[in-house]
Amino acid sequence: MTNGGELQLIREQGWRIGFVNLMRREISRRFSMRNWLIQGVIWLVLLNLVLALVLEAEEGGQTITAGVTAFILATSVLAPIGMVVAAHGAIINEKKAGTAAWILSKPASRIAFILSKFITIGLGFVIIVIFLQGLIAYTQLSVFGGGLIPAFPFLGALILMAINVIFYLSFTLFLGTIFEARIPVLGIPIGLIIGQVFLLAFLGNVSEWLPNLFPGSLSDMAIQTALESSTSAPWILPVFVTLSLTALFVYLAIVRFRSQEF
Amino acid sequence: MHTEAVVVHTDGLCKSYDTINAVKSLDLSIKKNSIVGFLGPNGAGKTTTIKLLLGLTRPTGGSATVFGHDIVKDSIEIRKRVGYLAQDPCFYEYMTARETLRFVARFYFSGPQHAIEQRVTDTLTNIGLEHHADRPIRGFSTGERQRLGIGQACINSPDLLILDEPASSLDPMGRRDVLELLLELRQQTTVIYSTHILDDVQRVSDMVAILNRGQLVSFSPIEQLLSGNSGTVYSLVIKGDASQAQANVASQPWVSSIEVTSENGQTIWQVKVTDDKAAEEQLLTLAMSDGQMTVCEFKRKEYELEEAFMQILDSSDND
Repeated sequence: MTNGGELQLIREQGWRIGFVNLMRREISRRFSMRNWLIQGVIWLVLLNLVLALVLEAEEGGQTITAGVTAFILATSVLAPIGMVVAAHGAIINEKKAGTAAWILSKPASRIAFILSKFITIGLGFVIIVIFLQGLIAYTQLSVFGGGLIPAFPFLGALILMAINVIFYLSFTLFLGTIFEARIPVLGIPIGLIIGQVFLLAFLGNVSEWLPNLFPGSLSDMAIQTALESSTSAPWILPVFVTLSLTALFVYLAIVRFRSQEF
Repeated sequence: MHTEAVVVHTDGLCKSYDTINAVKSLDLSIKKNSIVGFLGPNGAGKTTTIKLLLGLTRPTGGSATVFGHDIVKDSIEIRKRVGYLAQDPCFYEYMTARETLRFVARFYFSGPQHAIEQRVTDTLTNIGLEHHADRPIRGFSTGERQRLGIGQACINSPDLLILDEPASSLDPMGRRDVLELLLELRQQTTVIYSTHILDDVQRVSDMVAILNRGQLVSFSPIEQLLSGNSGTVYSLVIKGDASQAQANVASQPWVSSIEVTSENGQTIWQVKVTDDKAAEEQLLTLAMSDGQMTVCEFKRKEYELEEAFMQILDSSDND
């Protein structure tokens, strides 16, 4: 094999092989200005317009509390659903279109294939939907409150919501390696998001700490964190559980994808 | 055996899907710089064999190496040195041909941007897509896609080029270009290509592998295949009464059979012999010894690849 003078043959080994190239493609695909503008406007309407309406409707001293609660609740439900919609075709589309087989006929590791999608989809979504919308919401809340609201607790709440959506990304990617059709990949995580709302209420009646074993409890925790409410909830537990489940689903997605044939 | 002289070596390679045996105990050894035509009817196991060699699917039995690397454990090392064109090439539709080639080149090479661009531009020129380089692939014709597929398979100047039906969607000019490319690559590359176009195989292949129902039923040099697998046959075109001469020839111990057909007032003999030398020295003389007939044509029969291919498939079906 000739390299044509200045070109060097790639030297990466193991799982890293093809990673940089796949990352570059995913970034150019997902981080385009047009994509960001469309996403930004959609989420501005879905999250910050809701917040603006709540702030307009509320009167008296509870405006900020109601606004923070509304924003975090809306983000906790809509952002994971958005993440599932954004990620559900990431694996399946490539399998169906034959591009996964094409990529894997080149020197590219299957781990690099999964990780490049996990990182770029996750990063793009968290920046646009959680932190950008969070910044706009923070500005709205501060304007309505007549002064800056505490920044670090609000940032802490955004981080908790980011952890929540990343969990759904890992779960959706994992399902994409199992199923060949879109419906289960889309339906199962959305069912989990909505189902958890009722499940956590039920579990909360059984035991106070039981909901903390589910990623859905991060939304309550985010509200308490943003509002600096005193809480007896062991915040580390749902964070640990959610991060562990995220790592587990990424691992399972890799294992499953490595065993697939094209 | 596992030296660089042998590029591909399979040892009892098998692949089954539930109850279907897609590849059955394949034993194959492909030497460096040879052009191997993979032939067989649909579902014979050609594409499955190619996918096994590339690590896209895993064997259910046996083993195989490419460049001495195990196809299961060292698949990435193999793919670093292989160029592959799939039967139905798939690309990212939003990308242009240039972007696609750039993307593929970066799987193999690192280095300055201008060097990558030069490699991409050279490839676009070689495949005749330089004027469509910046158009999204979604607007490409089937032939243009096939050309791009060939370009991306060759962009790393591979040591082994695997082409699955490379000429299937090409017009006659494109087909000619592919065959010329294969012949040009002969010096530096080993080529495996599957096709249904037997004429192409006959023109460029050194070796022909014929698969049927997942089994390798023939693997031999093209010359050997074209000379037939059931003994040497001589063909004679005769005018006049040939009955006495036929009896004379048939009585010779080195003649195993004579097949007689008539066409346009001429008689055609297909004489199958067991001793080539005796046939060369005596057959024509024996035929002409009878003054009642004239021999218009005498030659050793050469099979067309299609004929040889059909014979081999028929006999493997009967086994």
